[in-house]
Amino acid sequence: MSRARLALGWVLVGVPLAYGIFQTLLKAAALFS
Amino acid sequence: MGWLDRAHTVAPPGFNRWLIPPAALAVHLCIGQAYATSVYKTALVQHFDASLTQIGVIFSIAIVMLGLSAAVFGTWVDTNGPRKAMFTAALFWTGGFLVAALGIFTRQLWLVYVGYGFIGGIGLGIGYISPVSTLIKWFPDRPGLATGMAIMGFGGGALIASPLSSALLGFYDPNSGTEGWVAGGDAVGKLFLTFAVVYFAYMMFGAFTIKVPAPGWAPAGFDPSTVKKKALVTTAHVSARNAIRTKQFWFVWVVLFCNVTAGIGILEQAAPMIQDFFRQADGASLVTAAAAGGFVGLLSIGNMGGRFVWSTTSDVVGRKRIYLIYLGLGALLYTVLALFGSVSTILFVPLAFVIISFYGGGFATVPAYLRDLFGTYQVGAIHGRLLTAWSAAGVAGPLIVNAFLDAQGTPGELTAQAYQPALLTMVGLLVVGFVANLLVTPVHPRFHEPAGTVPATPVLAKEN
Repeated sequence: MSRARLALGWVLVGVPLAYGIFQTLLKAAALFS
Repeated sequence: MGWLDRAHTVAPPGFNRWLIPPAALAVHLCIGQAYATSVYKTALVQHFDASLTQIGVIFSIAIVMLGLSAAVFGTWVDTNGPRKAMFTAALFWTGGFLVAALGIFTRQLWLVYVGYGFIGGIGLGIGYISPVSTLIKWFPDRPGLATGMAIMGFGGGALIASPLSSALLGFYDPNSGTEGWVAGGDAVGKLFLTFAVVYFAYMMFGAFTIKVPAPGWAPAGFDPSTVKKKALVTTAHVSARNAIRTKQFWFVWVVLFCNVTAGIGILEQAAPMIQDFFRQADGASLVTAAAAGGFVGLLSIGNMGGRFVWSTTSDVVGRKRIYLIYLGLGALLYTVLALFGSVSTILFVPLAFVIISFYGGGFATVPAYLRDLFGTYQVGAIHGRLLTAWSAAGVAGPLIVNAFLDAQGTPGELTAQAYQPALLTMVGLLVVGFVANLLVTPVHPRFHEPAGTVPATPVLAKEN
């Protein structure tokens, strides 16, 4: 239960953060193209 | 409302301390939206038929309120615990979005000032400091890592909100996709309503996940005596009231002010700056608008990454030393950028990236620096008072840069040389911060709380 809660907590914040970083890197790629 | 009190948030045996960083991140990722306001700035200018300055005031009020509310409510946050603080921050932050949305739908700009700026700004301040003291208490062995993770979220919040806002504005506006499209006010209002709902849910997750450690708790294997070995790290406690009477507090205030002002010097003008640095004799720039946008995105990554990487590094090299790097090496890199940055983007981009990572690192490392100097007793309240340096820098940074650039020529026609006075002024500020940091010494024992009046130093216990 504790491990599942821990995983859920990190997924809840990790997924949006990964989305934000991915989108920003896509935008930053324009600098090198 | 007793279920929000500190007494109801004490962790039971078996609680995993690694649940605290995501709880803190949930709040910081939400309030970090404050740095993504440029996405709908033009839409609001058109909707209210206002100037860029009038719309920019919304953000300025929010940042000033962040510093003021962190300073005013810091002791309240420390006394009442992180859950009540996060809950209150959620009410203010999302309530601010609701009031601002009403202002947008009814075309009352003053309501947006009151909503997003004033009410939301209070949520920013309380939310920013709400997990800091708790994280430091859960991670006495790695305070830099802990606060770095949370405060990284403030940088990460903008990375999420920026593309998400663009996508939602397109979804809400039936005219999206047309040439020269700028989102309508109605779409921005709906975006604000969406943020209010989503951010409230996330911040509630943070509020109801966070817990404070039981008295006397310490992580397994942590030996408090190792803390005493470092000259600047105290095991005594200083109250917030006494902390602001020490020279150390004001030296660190100057350090943060100088570091943030210098960082804002680049962040404020990032997109036009890179285009101006590589402007040719015919007036055209070698850097396109899209590439300049990419540069801003890269700096956001540097800002966020620096918060985590440098703050974590400070656990190893020490807080004073890491600030000597932020300010000393930062001044050197800033000088190279000002004098030789226009030689090549291969030089300019990495230099700006590292400088901005130092800016982020300065934010994230400062709670641990305060813990070292003043102990854990009221570190949240002391941190809150210190954030007035951020508010002051938020006003001073843009003022310095804009004043110098206005004197140099017209926007869109500036060159690298036009930036040198502003950038070299920032170098001077970094040197001032470097000297202030050198002057930081251990706090005199007369400021310490009498023994036995604050919770005892953690004792070794089995990690839960």
